Amino acid sequence: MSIVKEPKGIDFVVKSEPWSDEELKEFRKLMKKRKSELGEKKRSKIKENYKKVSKQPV
Amino acid sequence: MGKKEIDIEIDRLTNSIENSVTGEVFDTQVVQLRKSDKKNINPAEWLFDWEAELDLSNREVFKLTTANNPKIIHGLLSVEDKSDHIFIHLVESANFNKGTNKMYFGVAGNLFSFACKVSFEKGYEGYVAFDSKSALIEHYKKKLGATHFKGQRMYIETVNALELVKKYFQD
Repeated sequence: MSIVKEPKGIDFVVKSEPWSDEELKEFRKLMKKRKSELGEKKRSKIKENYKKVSKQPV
Repeated sequence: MGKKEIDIEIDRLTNSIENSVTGEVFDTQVVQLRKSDKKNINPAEWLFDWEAELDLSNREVFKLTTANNPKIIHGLLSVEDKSDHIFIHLVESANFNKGTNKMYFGVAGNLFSFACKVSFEKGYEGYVAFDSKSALIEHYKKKLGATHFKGQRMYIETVNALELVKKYFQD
């Protein structure tokens, strides 16, 4: 396990503005494309890896 | 939030933060806040209006505390289930974890990791979207593996979301 440290003097503060319907549509299209590029096999492997990680005792 | 509720398992996810002076590492937990928890948030200590955030029915607010002292809030997160990804509305570290003399490292990273975990749990393959200040875009890319979408819009996709979760959950 490691810790993601913010760079010195930087604070990761987020205040998101609502995304427009058009932006969401574009983002969904992009997600679809990225998932397709990744391929079913790799996506399944990632899901399996995630399950292993999430099952680890904390 | 949405139809699929978050598992209790990830409601009580344990990670860690590091004391910036001593280097000591403390186990943490992320727990969902309810309206009844408003009394535990002192508005004077926070930049954003977290009380108002708790009133919004489409959002869920989580607090990050150390496991041995759940009363002291180190950071807060507000997310919305967008049915195919998790949208981060707000992330804020407590005042004592801000600036050059922040007391603990890793608070925000912990909360981003949690958002990715929620996304995986809901079957969204880790996808998380949020806005960044222009000056921070490169930092989010480097530290969180986030991708710039357009303008101030950013997202974390599957591969990097898994990496982020692993950073906090794997030895």
